[in-house]
Amino acid sequence: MIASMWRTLTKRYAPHQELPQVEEVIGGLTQILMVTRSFSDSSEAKESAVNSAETEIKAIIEATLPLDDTIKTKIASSDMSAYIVPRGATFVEDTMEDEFKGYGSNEEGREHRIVAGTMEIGLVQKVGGVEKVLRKPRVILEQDLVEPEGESEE
Amino acid sequence: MVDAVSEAEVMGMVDNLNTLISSASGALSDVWDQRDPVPGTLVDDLDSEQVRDNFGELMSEQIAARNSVVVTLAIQMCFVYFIERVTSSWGDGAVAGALDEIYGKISTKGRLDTHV
Repeated sequence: MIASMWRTLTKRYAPHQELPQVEEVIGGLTQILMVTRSFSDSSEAKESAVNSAETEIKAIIEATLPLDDTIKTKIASSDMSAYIVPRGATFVEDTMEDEFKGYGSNEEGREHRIVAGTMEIGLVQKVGGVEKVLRKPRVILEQDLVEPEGESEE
Repeated sequence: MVDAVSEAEVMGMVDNLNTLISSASGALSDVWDQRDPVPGTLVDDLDSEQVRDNFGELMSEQIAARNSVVVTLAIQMCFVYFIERVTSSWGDGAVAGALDEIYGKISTKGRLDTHV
């Protein structure tokens, strides 16, 4: 009885609870805006970030929780997890998508391709110890970070 | 064992999240893109340090140089990191803490305060 009440309450109210990570997301966005020197005051940057993308930020949070719940409680036949490539990992074409594939100025020389970051998450499934990438994460490579001279704003 | 949802449905959820991330980063990119650098603004050391910790030396340099590709990437990565933290901590980390907090409110007040 207590267990079922607890389950019902947590299921009902947990999605409405603001996660501590939300503040981190907003804080991270604010720091990026401040480093671009778009604002002179961080509270103004924070307010601007929240106001301009509040709907999208909430939508991301609301979509993340069911995804997490689904892969952890509704998939019983295998292990699934979001696939996010850490910064500094070596690019592997079989399991990752290069955001700028074909656009690089030096495609042939890209032997040691290092991932700078993941722009879109992937999905990986593990069955009997064997991993299968169901969705490749989209990544950007370090060599694509630097714009050719004269193209940046400064 | 039977799955309550199909692989295709999970992939659809992932695709939906990626669309949302792209949309959010587009909205946020407009925020900084439409503003010229504020003259005389000094970047706070803490902001600078945390951006460097999160994104590395090369990316943080490019963010400071207002490289639009890199700023957009950094914004998207904020959301990607969020998803990574939530999906890896459900039940034993931040969310468990949040649930404890709710439970604490039930215990101490005898009812659930929904304004948590």
